[in-house]
Amino acid sequence: MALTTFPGYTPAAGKGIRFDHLTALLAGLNATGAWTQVTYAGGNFTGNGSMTWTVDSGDQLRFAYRRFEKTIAVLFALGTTTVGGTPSTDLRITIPLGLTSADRSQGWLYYIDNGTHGAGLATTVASGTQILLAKSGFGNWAASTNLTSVYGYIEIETTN
Amino acid sequence: MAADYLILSTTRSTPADLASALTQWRAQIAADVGYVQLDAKTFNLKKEGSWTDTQKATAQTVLDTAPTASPQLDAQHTLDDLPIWAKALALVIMDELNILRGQHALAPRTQAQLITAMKNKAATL
Repeated sequence: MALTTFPGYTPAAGKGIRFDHLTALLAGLNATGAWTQVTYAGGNFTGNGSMTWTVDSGDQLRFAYRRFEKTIAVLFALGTTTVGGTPSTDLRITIPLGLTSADRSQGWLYYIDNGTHGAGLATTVASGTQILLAKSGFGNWAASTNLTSVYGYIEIETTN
Repeated sequence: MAADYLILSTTRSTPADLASALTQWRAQIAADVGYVQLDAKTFNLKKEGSWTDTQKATAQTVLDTAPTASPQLDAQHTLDDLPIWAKALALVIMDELNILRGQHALAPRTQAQLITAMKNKAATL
């Protein structure tokens, strides 16, 4: 279907919108809807306190974002990861692009905690640079070897 | 040594009891085998070091022949990791029973015996 107009814009008589110009405009606004995969880096994944979270490159089934103005949407699917050290409450994912959360955000989380399935919460806090993954009831994550998986989605208002 | 992954698909018509499968994968292949289920019939297995052909075949066989998931098996697995309140309930009853057993010159039941008995009972329900 030819793209000839959009709400609020009336082309001159006999003229239409050049699709390549519109596409370039939307790309400049980060409004194409395209998702960007985050390049793997082990440092993007940590535990709070003395808990360790090891996510190998092959564990990163999906870690991607979509940004528009001061909102970033992040989805993640991380499988067969390892939790060690002193068990604690948060597995943490660095917000892509080095962005900072402007306020609290909440998203959904489904997890497999050392083999036990559950639903939890993905959150950010004001001025935070990480997504915090908490189990149902905010209990400690269990130590595991290649048996912790997390899947989730969150939209975050960012400071810039 | 780097982590290595193995994608497995199964043609079995019933869902596998994955706790049983994991026990067998770890016993027969490596103690650090982990898995994530990608869909109803596809699994991504992980361990340190490359998968040998023998290990791949073993992993497939374990998945294909694992017992079918059931409420009875779920209950038995849960008994290996009871919450504290459930342990307290069971152990209080056992302690009381052991007092009575002692009055009849019978040896006390142990916690291991209790868990085994509960698993056996779960299998019959």
